[in-house]
Amino acid sequence: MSIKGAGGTELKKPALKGIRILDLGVAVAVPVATRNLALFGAEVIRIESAGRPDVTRFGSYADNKMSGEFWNKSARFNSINTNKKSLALDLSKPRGIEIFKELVKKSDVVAENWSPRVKRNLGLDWESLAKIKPDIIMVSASGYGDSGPWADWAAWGLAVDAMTGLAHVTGYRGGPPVKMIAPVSDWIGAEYVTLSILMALEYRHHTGKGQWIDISEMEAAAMHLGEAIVEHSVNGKEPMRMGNRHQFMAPHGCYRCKGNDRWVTIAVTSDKEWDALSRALGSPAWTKDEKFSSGPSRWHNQDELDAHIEGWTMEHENREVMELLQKAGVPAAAVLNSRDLHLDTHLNQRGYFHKVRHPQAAGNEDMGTRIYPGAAWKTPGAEPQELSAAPRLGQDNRDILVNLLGLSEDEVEKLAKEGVIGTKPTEADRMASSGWGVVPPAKQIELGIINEYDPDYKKNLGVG
Amino acid sequence: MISEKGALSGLKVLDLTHYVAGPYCTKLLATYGADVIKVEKPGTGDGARLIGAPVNGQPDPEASALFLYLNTDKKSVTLDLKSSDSKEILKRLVGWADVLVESFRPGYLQKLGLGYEYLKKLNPRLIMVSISNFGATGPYRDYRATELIEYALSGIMYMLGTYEGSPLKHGLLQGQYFAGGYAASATVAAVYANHEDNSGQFVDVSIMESMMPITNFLAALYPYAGAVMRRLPKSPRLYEVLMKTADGYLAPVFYGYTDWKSFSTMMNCPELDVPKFDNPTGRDVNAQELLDILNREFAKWKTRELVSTAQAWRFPFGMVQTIQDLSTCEQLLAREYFATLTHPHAGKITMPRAPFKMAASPARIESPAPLLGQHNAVVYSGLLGFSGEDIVRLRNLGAI
Repeated sequence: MSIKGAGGTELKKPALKGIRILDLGVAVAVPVATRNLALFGAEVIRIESAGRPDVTRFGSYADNKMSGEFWNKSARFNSINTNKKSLALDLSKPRGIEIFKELVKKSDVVAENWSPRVKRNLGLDWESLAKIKPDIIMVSASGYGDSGPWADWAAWGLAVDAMTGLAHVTGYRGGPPVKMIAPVSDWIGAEYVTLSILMALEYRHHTGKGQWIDISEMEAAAMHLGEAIVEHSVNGKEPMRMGNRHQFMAPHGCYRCKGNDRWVTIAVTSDKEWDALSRALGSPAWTKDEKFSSGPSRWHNQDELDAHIEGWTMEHENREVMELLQKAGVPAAAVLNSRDLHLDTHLNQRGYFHKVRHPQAAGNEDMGTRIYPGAAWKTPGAEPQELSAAPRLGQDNRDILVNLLGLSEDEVEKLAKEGVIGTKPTEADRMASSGWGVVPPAKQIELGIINEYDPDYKKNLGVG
Repeated sequence: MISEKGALSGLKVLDLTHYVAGPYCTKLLATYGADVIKVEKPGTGDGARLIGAPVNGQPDPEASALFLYLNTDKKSVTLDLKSSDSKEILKRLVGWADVLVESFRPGYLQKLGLGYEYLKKLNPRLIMVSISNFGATGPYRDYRATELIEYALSGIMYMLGTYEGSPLKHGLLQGQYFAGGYAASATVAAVYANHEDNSGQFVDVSIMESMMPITNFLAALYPYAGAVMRRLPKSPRLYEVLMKTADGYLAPVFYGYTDWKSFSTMMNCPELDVPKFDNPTGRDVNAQELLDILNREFAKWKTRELVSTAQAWRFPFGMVQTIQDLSTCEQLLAREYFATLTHPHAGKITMPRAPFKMAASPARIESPAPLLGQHNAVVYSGLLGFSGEDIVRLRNLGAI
């Protein structure tokens, strides 16, 4: 049955329908990419093991409670693993490797982001896999790439953000480099893992050939500094940290508003916008000052200009400022926090967030309905991609082994007994007793880790 | 044997984008083999020619670093989309293309009579990718924006900066690049989907939404636990800071139950080898005391030496590399990350080659960014079959 869209036109099938991806990912770069590909319609089998479940399964628990199957209740894991299946398979056991290779024969793509030597140690490099599935596509994403003197360097996104040059250009004016509390390069890496797999599928469609792709997160992220690299290569110029300021626009900054840690950004790109801003503020005397009469003079007198503007913004709510100025034709935006984003009219009208009902697992607290972001693109002419909850660890062990690989029920039971497959982290009991990663909200506010805590958040979101 | 063909070899892309996000998307497509024809406004061309720093020190729209980086391996033609005389050319270009990528403000092409419905009549298999600040729909659709505005609305900014400081944006134009990358993925997915029925589709890419994944882990704590995350905490923990060394900045990274004893030995600092620091909780609780010791100790080291030493001990440390550092980085050089091209106005310029290495279908970086209208003749007469007289007439009318 085909699905019809507005006006009775037939909707397209999701782009990757029928493509099967084996996700050996750790943390962000590969799991986020395969989530993107799942949103394009691919079937993604997330492979972890009971001995080494993904690091993102720990901490950030639903309702801040480490109880029941806590490893299935993590915001981090669950937000980037929607629409996937889970197979908990121990690749350190020979039988685990055998089963994995059987899966490769039935798959299109293998994606991993281990340290480069791991795949070779396990005999899971592309050459080995191509012997059993000649057109397999394999992506290896690592911090610094598969070759070169740093290939075996240990890499976490927090260090890669620095290595790639992003930290160097980020910080307040005259201050030291600053890093974001969550690393960015992992997420940039994820974008290019996504793109590379799509390109390899396209190439395979035309040539019948699979291939191996080598992604260095440092290289991927440094692409985003390209214009500075070009300029430096000609005149040796090194970019400076400028906070929120611009090389030639002014005002161009982030201003405090009424409320607890509320802010607005304003960027004036032309004289016309400056006039519009002055009028929107009610043309106070200072806006007529000679010092602010032209672009260059506003730029040179920015400290004073910013003080005047902030004097005004502090009297207003940030959304009020945004709406007033946007109406006047001036680029302005409220600085949204995570609550604002989830309640934002624009995002919600565009259907960016999805309500997902978690199936209730036997003997576990009900996760209820949670909200997850959708795709970073929209294809209104294609079948809508429904979001399904991230899988519990090993949730699909039996389904994959029996229905996809044709193993017998007895064999599956034996694999479970031998610990080749599993559903509970081997360290779960020890972790539960340590309580690690659970800090009460009041303490988090005191430490400045969070800004606010809404006990009523489910009601605000309309999910409980 | 090396195949010379890129993964997207044979893909025809009509590029109606300007500034950063759109051109970066089509640059990625060109890097992996697509044939990209960039349409620019006669006279001035892509605005990035004017806003980028001219690398030769004098105002020169042919030497903007930003434009030179974002437009490699593309052909440039000039065409005034507002002129009625340009319609015939545009029709033929649309007929030629598999994909059209544009980054005008939403509704602009419709107003010119060039909306997707119309273009699809000219070419039923056409894929049209629209990249805009906030997407093609929704209440912010017509809001004015710059990179700073996108940073505020995407939620990234609220989560970047120090505890006392204001929200902060990353340096340069990261948001535009995030969007260009996602637009490229959406484009290739649409191309792949066309193998099924060749019926084309419209793809709507919002820069704001392309930036939001970066905040995913932090934002997810709201629908999970009602927590509104913010910037760096009052006393940043060890992995959240960049620390000064004798000659730069270090990114010390410790995860979970790290081998703290080895670290104390490596630093040759017995003061560190005490129970209150040897576990993650202890290091968090005693963060300030620990940072004071490390600040003193790290200042004795040169960054590169310390990072190589730490890596030899298996600690995943990094360092803050400047652009100069990148240009001499042994890892990047060993992997031939940089390509050098010769451009008629800018001379020899160096830039990153590609974001990933494909074993069978290598990336290319062959031609420097085109001069404005450099390929008018090649495209208009060679590819589209207009006669010399037609071209003179269209030029006189200001259409090209």
